[in-house]
Amino acid sequence: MSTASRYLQVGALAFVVSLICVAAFNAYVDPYRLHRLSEASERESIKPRVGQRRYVSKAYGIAHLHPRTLILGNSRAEIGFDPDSSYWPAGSAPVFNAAIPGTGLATGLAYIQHALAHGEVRQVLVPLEFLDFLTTPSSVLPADSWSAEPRRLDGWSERLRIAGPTLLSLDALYDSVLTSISRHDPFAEDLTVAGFNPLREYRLHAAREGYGALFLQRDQENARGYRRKPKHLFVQNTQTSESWRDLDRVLQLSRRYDFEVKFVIYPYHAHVLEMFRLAGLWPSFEQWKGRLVEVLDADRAKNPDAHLELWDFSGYHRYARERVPSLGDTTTVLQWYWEAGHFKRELGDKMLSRIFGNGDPEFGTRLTRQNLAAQNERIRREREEFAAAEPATVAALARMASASRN
Amino acid sequence: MLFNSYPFILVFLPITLIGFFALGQRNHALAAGWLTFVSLVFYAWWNPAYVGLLIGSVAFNYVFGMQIARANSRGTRRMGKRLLVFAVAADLALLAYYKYANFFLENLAKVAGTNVSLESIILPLGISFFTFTQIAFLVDTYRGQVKEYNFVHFALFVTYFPHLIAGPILHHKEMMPQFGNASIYRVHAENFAVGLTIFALGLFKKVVLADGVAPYVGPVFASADAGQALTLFEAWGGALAYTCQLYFDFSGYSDMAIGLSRLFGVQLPLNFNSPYKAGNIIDFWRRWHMTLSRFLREYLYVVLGGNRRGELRRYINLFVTMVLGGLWHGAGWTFVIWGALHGLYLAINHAWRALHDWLGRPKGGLACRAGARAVTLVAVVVGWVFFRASSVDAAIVILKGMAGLNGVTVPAAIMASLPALRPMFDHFDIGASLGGGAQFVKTYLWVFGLLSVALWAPNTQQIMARFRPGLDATAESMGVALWQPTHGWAVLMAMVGALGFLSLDRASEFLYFQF
Repeated sequence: MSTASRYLQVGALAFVVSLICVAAFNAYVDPYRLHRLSEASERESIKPRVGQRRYVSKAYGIAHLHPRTLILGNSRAEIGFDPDSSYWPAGSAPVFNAAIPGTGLATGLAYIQHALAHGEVRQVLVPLEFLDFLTTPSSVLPADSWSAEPRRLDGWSERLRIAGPTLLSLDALYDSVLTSISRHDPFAEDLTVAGFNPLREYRLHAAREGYGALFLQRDQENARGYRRKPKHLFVQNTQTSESWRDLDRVLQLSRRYDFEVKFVIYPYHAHVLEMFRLAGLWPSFEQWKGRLVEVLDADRAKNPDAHLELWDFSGYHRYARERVPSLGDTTTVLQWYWEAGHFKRELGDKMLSRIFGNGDPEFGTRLTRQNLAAQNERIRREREEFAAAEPATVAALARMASASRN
Repeated sequence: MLFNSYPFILVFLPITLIGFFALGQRNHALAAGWLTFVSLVFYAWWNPAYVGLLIGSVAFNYVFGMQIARANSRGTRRMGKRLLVFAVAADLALLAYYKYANFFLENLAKVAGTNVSLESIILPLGISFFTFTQIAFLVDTYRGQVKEYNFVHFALFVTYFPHLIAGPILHHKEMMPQFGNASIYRVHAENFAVGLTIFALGLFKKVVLADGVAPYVGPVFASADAGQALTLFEAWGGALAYTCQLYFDFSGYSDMAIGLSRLFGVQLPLNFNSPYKAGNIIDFWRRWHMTLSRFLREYLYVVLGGNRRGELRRYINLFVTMVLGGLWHGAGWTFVIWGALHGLYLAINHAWRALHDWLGRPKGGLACRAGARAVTLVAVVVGWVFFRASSVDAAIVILKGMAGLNGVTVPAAIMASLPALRPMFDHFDIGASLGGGAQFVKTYLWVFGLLSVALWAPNTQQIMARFRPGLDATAESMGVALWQPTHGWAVLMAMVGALGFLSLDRASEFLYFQF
């Protein structure tokens, strides 16, 4: 056999062995929490790269855990609601956080349907993002081909499609190596087995840069982003939009499969509420709440047995007014917020305790047609108190909003 | 179809190789025809509608080539010249229509206020490459330099899939004799060993290195598009990242083309020879896209008069050649400016050489040579900013940032982790920017890593030099030769190939794709 032929044989063997080793390593480390070979070690492990395959990881997590309680929403919910919180009532477990950053009700719907395909869902916590409901009147509603059926996100074709990139790819190998070396890093990112994001890395950012810097960065992003948002809630000549349609689909599923729904309006920090005001979104914000109450009332009227609740945690209450440390202060640690856009699980626990029984009665209102006007009035009053107590903050936010217009 | 894709590596290539060598045992013309056929399939994978265009272009140029040769052999060179001018004009008109029509109309609208526009024209893949390849054939036919007119070999020479989409730009006299060589129709283990190794190295450069640094290029140029001011490190980070991405992307693809062709026993000319190691711009253009430089020199610069009409005319010819070379890369003012910059660089370099000769050729030391390489690299980076930017304004935004006109900032998280450097930050007025710490670190890690490889590591052809990786590439000409078909190299190259194979599922852009 020639030298070149031997070279080719050895090379081919080494190539195949390399691929097998990579696949085996990736399967063993399981950087995306897909295979979950050992429940116990999975619970204890830190996996900073799960976020790279968040969608599929959470789908596989639901398939594995068969949750009775689902948490939906965007990054605020992924970071704010801990499935392992002690404030979940008895009978809620297993709880799974299916919130996905940057997504709305459409994604949440898909996960409800996926969870229904894997077991019995008893209750769903549905945080509602006001900004998702803003639309341009000229938007066109896509054709309605949705059906209220359970639908798996992890069928065999999907599993086969995922197998390649998660076992035989350089990205997966890189993620496995990072996962292996991050095991003892107290600040490594993580998504727990139940889908919660403890935002471990932010503790390091906060310690290095200070909460003031984190808030400032988020405030500047919000000033730029909110200015560009449309102000309308509905498509022209209708009382609906994609988001309202998705909300109605959640209600359809809850009727058909008999699960409770707790709708939640986020406890936006005062800085976010100020940015809503400065971007001219406040009237839409109040109008949105009114429409939510109408929609739920209409559904209850059709279905008296429905277990639907709408909780409003927004307002300039003492939590949302948690004072932001000045720039350069790297020692003050906030109790309730990471930055204006994201509240901590401690505040999420307060919300859960309020929703499920014995929480602070001054925090959160179960919104109905009867108390809506009073709630809006109270928030406006709280805002005036906030402006009087922190004029410098209000002025600084106003300057930021004005600068973003230029 | 891209070389770096599962369908190509796992389906197209094995079928092509099996068919070629199986047919080659019976009939060489059939095997060459098979290779032409699969090359057309390869082309059609992108858009079947344009295969007709490619076939038409090949047939048109072959017929006119024959007619030119016939006219010359009958002594009617004037007729031959007319045929040449017509055929070249037709080729260029086709290229002009697909590539430059909308650019021309847009600029006419700005100048003359007209309102004519065409429907969006899809640029046929590789049209710049196969047009230039055939123009060279026609000109050489007129010059009497073409020795063979076998249609199958000609069709194969133009459509040959390793080079069809993105070069190297082939010359008929180096290709057609190879297609006529009986030995290429037999399997040679050494060709497979060398070809697969070069392919693996090229694949690694493209999908691991170039695609690895790509995420640090887009955001910077997108910010510039949006008119956002960039500070010094942001601007340099994006520009250097692109400098690395373009080199590893294009040279990686060229390596893959050379490696693939070697599987069939056909050697291609080299296209890159560590261009960022160049000590001056003249040297840079002997190392970057070498086959394009060769084409521009032989069929444009020399035709314009070259250096035969005095120094001033030489500089003008250089400048015009480079401007047209820039325009060849894309229909946009940024490409024109890029070409003009390099024309200017070359003129300055030639003038400097003349001065250097006049001064008696004083020798420079190590510092001088390092300085020359640094100046050359900076000049090239500035050019790449125009090459990549979507508009002249965006390019200027980046260049302003690179010049420090928007200040210097470092992410606050990095500043906070380097307290010992605080006095230096304050002294040089380096401010802190919010966020972007991870992006900053990763950008510069990639840039330093890739530049180190580009500036100091041996290139693919040097590694493979002992086994003639390309035409005119020998151990003597390359200066270095490392690879041999040993077990150790087999394992190492297999792992390199495996890393490349594992990266095929990534989103990838090939920067020279739409040429």
